[in-house]
Amino acid sequence: MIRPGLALLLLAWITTQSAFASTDTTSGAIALANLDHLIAQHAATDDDAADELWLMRARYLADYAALERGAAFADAIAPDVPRLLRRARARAAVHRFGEALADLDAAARLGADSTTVFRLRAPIRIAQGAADEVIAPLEAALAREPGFASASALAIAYAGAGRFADADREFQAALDALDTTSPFPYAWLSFARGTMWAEQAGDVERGARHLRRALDYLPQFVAANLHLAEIEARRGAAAAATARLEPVAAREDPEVLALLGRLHAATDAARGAREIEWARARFEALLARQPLAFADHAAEFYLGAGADPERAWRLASANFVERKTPRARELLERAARARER
Amino acid sequence: MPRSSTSLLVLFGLAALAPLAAASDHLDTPSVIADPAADIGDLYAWTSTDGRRLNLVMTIVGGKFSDRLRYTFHVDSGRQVGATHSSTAIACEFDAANNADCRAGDDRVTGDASATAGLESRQKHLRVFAGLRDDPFFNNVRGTRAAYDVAGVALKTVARDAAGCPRFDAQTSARILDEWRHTDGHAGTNLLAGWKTAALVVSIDLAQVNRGGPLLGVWATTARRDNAIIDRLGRALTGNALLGTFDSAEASNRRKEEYNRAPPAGWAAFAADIAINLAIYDGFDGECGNQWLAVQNDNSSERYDRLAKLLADDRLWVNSAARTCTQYLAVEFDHVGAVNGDCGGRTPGYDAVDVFRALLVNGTTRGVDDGVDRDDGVPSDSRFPFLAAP
Repeated sequence: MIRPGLALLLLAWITTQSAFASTDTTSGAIALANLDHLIAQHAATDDDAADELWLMRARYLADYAALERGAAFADAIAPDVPRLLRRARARAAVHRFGEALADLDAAARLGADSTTVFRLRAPIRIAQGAADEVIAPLEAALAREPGFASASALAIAYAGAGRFADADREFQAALDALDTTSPFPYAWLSFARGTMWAEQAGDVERGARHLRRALDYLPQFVAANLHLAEIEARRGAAAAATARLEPVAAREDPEVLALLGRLHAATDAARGAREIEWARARFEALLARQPLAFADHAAEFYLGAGADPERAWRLASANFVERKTPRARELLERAARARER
Repeated sequence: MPRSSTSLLVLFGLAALAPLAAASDHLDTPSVIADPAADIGDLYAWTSTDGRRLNLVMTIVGGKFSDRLRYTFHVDSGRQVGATHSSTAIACEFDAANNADCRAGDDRVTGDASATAGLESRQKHLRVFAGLRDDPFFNNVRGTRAAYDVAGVALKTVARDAAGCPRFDAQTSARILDEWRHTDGHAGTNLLAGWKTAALVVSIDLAQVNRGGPLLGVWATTARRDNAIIDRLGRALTGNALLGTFDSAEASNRRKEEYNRAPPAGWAAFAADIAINLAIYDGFDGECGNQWLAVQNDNSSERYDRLAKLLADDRLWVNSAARTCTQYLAVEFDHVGAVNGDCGGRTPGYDAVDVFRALLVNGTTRGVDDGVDRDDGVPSDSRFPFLAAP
């Protein structure tokens, strides 16, 4: 694990504190109700706007029916630039990165705006483990157009490259550049920053602070609740983790169900087993529809509570084909070792 | 959960909603697109038929009001358009359950105002409704976007006169106007059909708002509770149609954000931006100089200044001495010499879009239409809360 030096840690700690300055945003419940309102408003339309609204719902509420709707264009015919770009977004949303990049290449050949193409390509390449490739152009973009979008894109790239202090600085710059009453971007940036520190950089306490901050903005944010519950569970705070997960379990996120199952197993083995089986069924149902979108998390499940190393190895292999990140490589290696045992 | 890449794509947020920003004031800037509770869709203001009340409607793109914002109708009064001496603010805040707390001077009303009858204030000067209604705005948004696209391509090569008006050829002009009244080659359709809105509706005694004179300049804001304005609106389409219309999205958004947040003392600074776009609309029918208030023979950049200055003072003018309200911009017409007895303002039934476009293109109130004449819901200008049920 790469850990930044003490000076960088101190600098990052200072910026972390300023990130916790008060920001007055619309309550999460109202913001989500208005998101659903916009989705209903666009029910009759079949366009990029509707896709993005559905994907937002999926992103924050682990609503996989919404993910299906938002990514439905992934298999559409795309004979022109607007539709190629739309299909690339849809394919990226379900981790079909190679196909998404092919769409972007095709769009570029047909004369798509190069900035637009790059803005779509960069997050895909980062997700594939090629963050180094996009850092220089993202730095140039930030110099040209300072602001939330440029700073947060660069922060993610730095995080992907393991440059945690640089990433933290840009996360802070992105937060500082935000001027909206929407809780969503604040919640998302705090979540991304929290998972970086807790899961990539190994500073769990620091990561937990940012995850809590994300939940201050959006208490319903399923992934933030899950990651924080994982930290709490590892610390032995099972009651806190359980209390955090139970309100969001009805959304049937398989990772939430799996963690709840593990937590309940200690006191109620039958209930724990039922929840783990429920998680297995949910993973399989989701994998049947979007295999790449869930391959890495399902592999984790089968390496743990799901207890099926062979299945884990197949999923980790499929995931590694699509993305060569350190995490994907480490997951594949663990799956291979488990399979051999 | 595919957390990483879907999360990364949020960087581009709701950018795809931006092309819909040809609506009245809906979706006008990134700030309000991000929080639909802060996004004013439209403002309506008109007098009641008994001549005793001013009716006000602010529609919000979201379905619920924010618990962190203040929604304010500003009513300035005077005896002449552009010159007001007194102001009344009718300001409402909401809690997380969307209960309202509205104040106008020393009068106040609190509680759940979502029943059709609304709530009456303690001193009975105002009645407030706050809840979900049908959005009465109607506009052929896609046709407008298509017309702008045709114009935008042509603008790259077309010559302009000294006042900045493009000399579109007859074919281009015909295409622009044709796209404007159609949707994807078919009859024009209302993109907002079926849309619902969080509506803030106020009916207030005229005596509370006309202390400076009978002419009322009405504008609306959403603001943080420290008074930092996020969105503002007077007349329809000023921000969305007249600021950076043919500029890059970044440049246009930046200017519209500045416009929304500007205090009244800073409004006049936007006249130059507006004049640039007025010049472009003036050329849409292939004839430069025939826009309303344009100085036809002025071949300098000042040709559009008069209308630009009038529109930069973005207030919806209501003649509170009148009881009949049938004509959008009637008070402004009166101000420049077309004397009439109409209250002007804007009722939910006005086809403000067609009037606005025709004035900009051919200088009259008709002849440039978008193929959409009414909303699917049927609003009332006399029966509180005026907007159709959702």
